[in-house]
Amino acid sequence: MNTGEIVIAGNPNAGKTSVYNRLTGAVQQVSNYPGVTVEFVSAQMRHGGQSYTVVDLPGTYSLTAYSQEELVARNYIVESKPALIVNVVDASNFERNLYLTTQLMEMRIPMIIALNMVDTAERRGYKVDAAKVSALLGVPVIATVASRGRGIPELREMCVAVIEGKISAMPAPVTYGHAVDEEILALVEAIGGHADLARQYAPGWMAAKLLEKDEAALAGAHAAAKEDLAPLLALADKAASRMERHFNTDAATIMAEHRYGIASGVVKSCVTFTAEARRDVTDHIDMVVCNRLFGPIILVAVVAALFFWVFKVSDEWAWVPWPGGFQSPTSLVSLLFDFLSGMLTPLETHAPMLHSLLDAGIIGGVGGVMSFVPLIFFMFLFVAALEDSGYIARVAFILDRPLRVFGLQGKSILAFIVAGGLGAGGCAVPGIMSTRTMREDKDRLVTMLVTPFMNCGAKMPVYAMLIAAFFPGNRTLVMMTLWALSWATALCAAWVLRRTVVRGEQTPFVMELPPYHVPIIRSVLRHTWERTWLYIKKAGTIILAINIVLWAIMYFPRPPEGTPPHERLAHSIAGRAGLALEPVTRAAGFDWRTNIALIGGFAAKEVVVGALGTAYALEQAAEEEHQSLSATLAALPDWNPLRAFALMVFVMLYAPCLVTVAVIRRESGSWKWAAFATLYSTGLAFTLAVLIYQAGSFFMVK
Amino acid sequence: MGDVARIVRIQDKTSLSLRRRLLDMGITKGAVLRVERHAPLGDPVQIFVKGYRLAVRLSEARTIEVEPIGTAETAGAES
Repeated sequence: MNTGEIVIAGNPNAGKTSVYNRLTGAVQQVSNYPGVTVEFVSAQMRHGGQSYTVVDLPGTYSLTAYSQEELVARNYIVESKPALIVNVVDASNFERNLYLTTQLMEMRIPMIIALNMVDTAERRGYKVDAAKVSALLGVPVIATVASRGRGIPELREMCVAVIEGKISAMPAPVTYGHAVDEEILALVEAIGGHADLARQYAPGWMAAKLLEKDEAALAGAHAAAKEDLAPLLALADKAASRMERHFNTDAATIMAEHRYGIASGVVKSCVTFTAEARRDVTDHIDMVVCNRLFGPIILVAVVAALFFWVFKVSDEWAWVPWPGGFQSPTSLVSLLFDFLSGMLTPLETHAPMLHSLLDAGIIGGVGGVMSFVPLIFFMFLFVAALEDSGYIARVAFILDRPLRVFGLQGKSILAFIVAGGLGAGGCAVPGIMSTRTMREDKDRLVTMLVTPFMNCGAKMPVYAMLIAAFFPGNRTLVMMTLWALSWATALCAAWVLRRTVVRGEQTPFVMELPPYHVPIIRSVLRHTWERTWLYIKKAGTIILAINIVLWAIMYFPRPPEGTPPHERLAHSIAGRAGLALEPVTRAAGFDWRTNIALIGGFAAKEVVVGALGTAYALEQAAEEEHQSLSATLAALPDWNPLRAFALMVFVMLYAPCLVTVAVIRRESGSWKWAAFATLYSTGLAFTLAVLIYQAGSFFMVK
Repeated sequence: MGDVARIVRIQDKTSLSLRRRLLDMGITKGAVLRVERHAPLGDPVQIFVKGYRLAVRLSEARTIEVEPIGTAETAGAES
């Protein structure tokens, strides 16, 4: 047990993360899309020379354990037995938020209610009497406006007072009406007979869960108790059927309705309506944004604007002042790495091996990845602003129907967008993590399996290099083709998967559409930075390590003295592996050097360009002039646009990178799906690449 | 559009997971809801219940039995 631990629980969009940030001064993202906290984070809250651990749980509407997030939140509270729960309640959405409060109260842990967004509630014409709520529920209630820091010092002081035992904050017992309460009382007594069970779980809570036939709680009970639980379960079953006969519906519904009864009772006695509820800004915006005619037009316009803006700002417009003239952010990063590479030149004659490692292995590899940081940053900036405004939830609303045709659903769209579905770079890792807001089910699994097809930032260096070499005049056209192809593949794959390996009913869509608000710059920047940082971190760690390993297997064993430069690579470990695969990969037009790069790309696709660069740079004799990889490839006789295109398609679709595979494993809960994702996408990628190459060759010969 | 109704019940044949989900989101007996608008392709539909906006598919909405109570503008205020 952790003495003094505080957990923050509440509905999605209740301002939970803002409260957390304000209490701890931490830099956790806040966003206006239901369910942004995909993993819980913790930080220290300091007060009066003391330090307290604060844990931000995922936002949930309930604790019935029907989704991953609910289960995570609930298990955390049950297992860590925190000293205090801070329940963030959205005052402007009071009744539904109180439903979770009643469930938290059942867990018998001291609680403080942070009655958040009281300003919004007042603007909408409600006034919540905090003192009355406190008297009814038996816990301290502090009114806050967390986004502006209002009420936070009071909340912090209250937390400390409760932990130190100066103020009692044990919630009032939850009552479900006479008939149910009696059944619970009898069960609590029976649970008392199992000492281990009663110690691990609050007996009243466990009794309620047994009546609801909550499977996760049942499994927990079996694990906690040493004895046979059959008599207890039989008792619970009988009690549940008595209730069901009495109320003529299932026990879980009865319990839920009684919880709402408590919530609406609190609303009736604590909320005064100061003004008539009127149509607000959100209604007016929705009228246009979700309109039959304008909705789709606006959606297309937003996507087009994003596409245009991201490329212009990050790459095409030279707007960053720099000695020697204005530069675009992307070229600035390239300049930096060119400069580093230039500094290494003196090494070339004195320590050729070290120079090769640093220049070809590290700077070449990592530099190629880093030059896409500006693109990814601006892309995430735009998406974060849209998410924070509330628009992405509307995109899910608008696109649910068309996506359903493919066995997906509206909520899949966020995963696709974050993974690069807008065609301007992204990352499948946060994309797959965002599927946690979907329920534990088939829709989510299929979304995870096809999300890696999106054009993430890792694929951009490969596209950029090959487009520069073979399609210099048609950059936009090729990018659009690749974008369309990634979507077509993802949708078709989802359609097929849903009819073969992931069969099953579609799950409910039921989704909150949060009110619109102007994006908060600070939170958008934080959110953007966090996602971008994941990309940079990957470049600095995994990619760097793989580049070094790849360089080593391409450099060693050293060929005998006097081997001509162009035969040296073939002598290395990587060269031999690449050559061994060549008979197969020739069908798609890939030679053995490309194979080396693609093998490296299994770890992370950013590696492909670096590895190709190393492959050709190692072959290049010192006497040849250094030129860019694009220029090198364009000049080679055995490379042509068709081969480049087949390679781009293969890179787009083949095995997700190692980090993504690990995330699929974690999120799907089994290696089976992680292995499946790797195999089916590689098979699909190779088939398509071969088709494109063979069909293309056929027509080109003609 | 803009129709206000009181929820009578969630149909018995509704799957347990959908029923729970609807309950979690405040679709309970006696609550008042207002149909706000349909998505551009007619489905899903946006409803206003317990003071907030909820998107549900038509197939899901059909499992909610309601009795119409007019077209008042203030449906969200009570419940």
